Amino acid sequence: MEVSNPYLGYKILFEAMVKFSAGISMIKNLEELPLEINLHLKYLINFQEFNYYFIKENKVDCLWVNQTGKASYSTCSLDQLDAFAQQVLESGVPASKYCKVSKTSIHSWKFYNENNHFSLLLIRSHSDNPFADKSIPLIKVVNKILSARIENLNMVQLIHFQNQKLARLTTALQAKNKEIEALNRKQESTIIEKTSRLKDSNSKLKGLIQFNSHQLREPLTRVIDMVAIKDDLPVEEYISDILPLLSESVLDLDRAIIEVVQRSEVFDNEEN
Amino acid sequence: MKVFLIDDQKITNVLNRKYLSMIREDLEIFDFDDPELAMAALETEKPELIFLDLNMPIVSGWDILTFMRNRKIEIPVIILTSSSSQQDREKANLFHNVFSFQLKPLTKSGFNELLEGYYLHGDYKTSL
Repeated sequence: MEVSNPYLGYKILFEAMVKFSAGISMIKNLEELPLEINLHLKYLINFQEFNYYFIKENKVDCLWVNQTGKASYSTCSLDQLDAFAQQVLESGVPASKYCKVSKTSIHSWKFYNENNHFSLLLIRSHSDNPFADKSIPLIKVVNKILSARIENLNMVQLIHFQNQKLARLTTALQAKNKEIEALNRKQESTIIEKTSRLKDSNSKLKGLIQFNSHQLREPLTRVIDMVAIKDDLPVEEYISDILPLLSESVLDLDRAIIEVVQRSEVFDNEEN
Repeated sequence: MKVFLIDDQKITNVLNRKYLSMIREDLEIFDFDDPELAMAALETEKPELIFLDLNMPIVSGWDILTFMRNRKIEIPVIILTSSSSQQDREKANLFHNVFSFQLKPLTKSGFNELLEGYYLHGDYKTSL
């Protein structure tokens, strides 16, 4: 890209940079990033192929763009990078190599970004339209824009992932809550049922006690009566009139006790 | 004075009759172990005092009290029961001719007090 008027040249460059930067800030995920780079990078630098590796621990985001408009996004691990890339990564020194057969040269830079993340930028260009040294400052800016965006998108992805995890957990929690509610309801109904059974047997028991007390008290009061009257009557009269009645009442009392016991047993059987 | 003893237990009637005749000689005592016969005799004999048991089969003491109320038979009644239920005591209060509620057994001194109370207070309701 040769422009004779330097002012016009800078203007074009500035506009291209603004569009490049604005476009990248608009994209929503990493997969779209290479296509977006492809739209504006050709107005900034001369290249045949553009590779950008964003390295976060062992995981590498690989962006690839070529002059004909092809673009791709992939991920790989650090050891899958080629020897030249490895060399630049290890040394940290920018490097370039030229291939006589294809008449292409490769320039490569390693950048140290925030949060201890690295990036590796490779540009292949043909000798007919070579990468110009004066574009090196632009490369730094391009890295800054790309690394910041990737970092940002990774963060968004992480948050999204965590949100999904949270949503799954929330769903699981709601399901558990429903289970607990169902259990509670079941327990409540069991308690209500048991309480009503208890109330029922309580009232039966009350009835039984009342019945028993009357059943036993009636003959007992007669016996008490006949014992008490002893001092008020002549002995002969007591022996002839009362004593036979006394033994009858004692037998009544015995019968009452037997019946009370039998009723208690019936009640016991009904309850079990 | 005519007195009715109404209790399905013959023995109780025998004992109560003995006590009453020990205390006063001028009492004309009628005892009933069948409450239905007592009910029938109420209007013909017109007793002045009734000793009434509550728990009786077929016709209960309550039935007799209700019968008297319906027929407007105003004879003072002393309830003699072996039931210590507070409910019965409160229910008895609703019959204004019931002037005493006594728990069995009632001995000679108990009968004595009741009769004295009956003779002393023309307004028998006060000794309930």
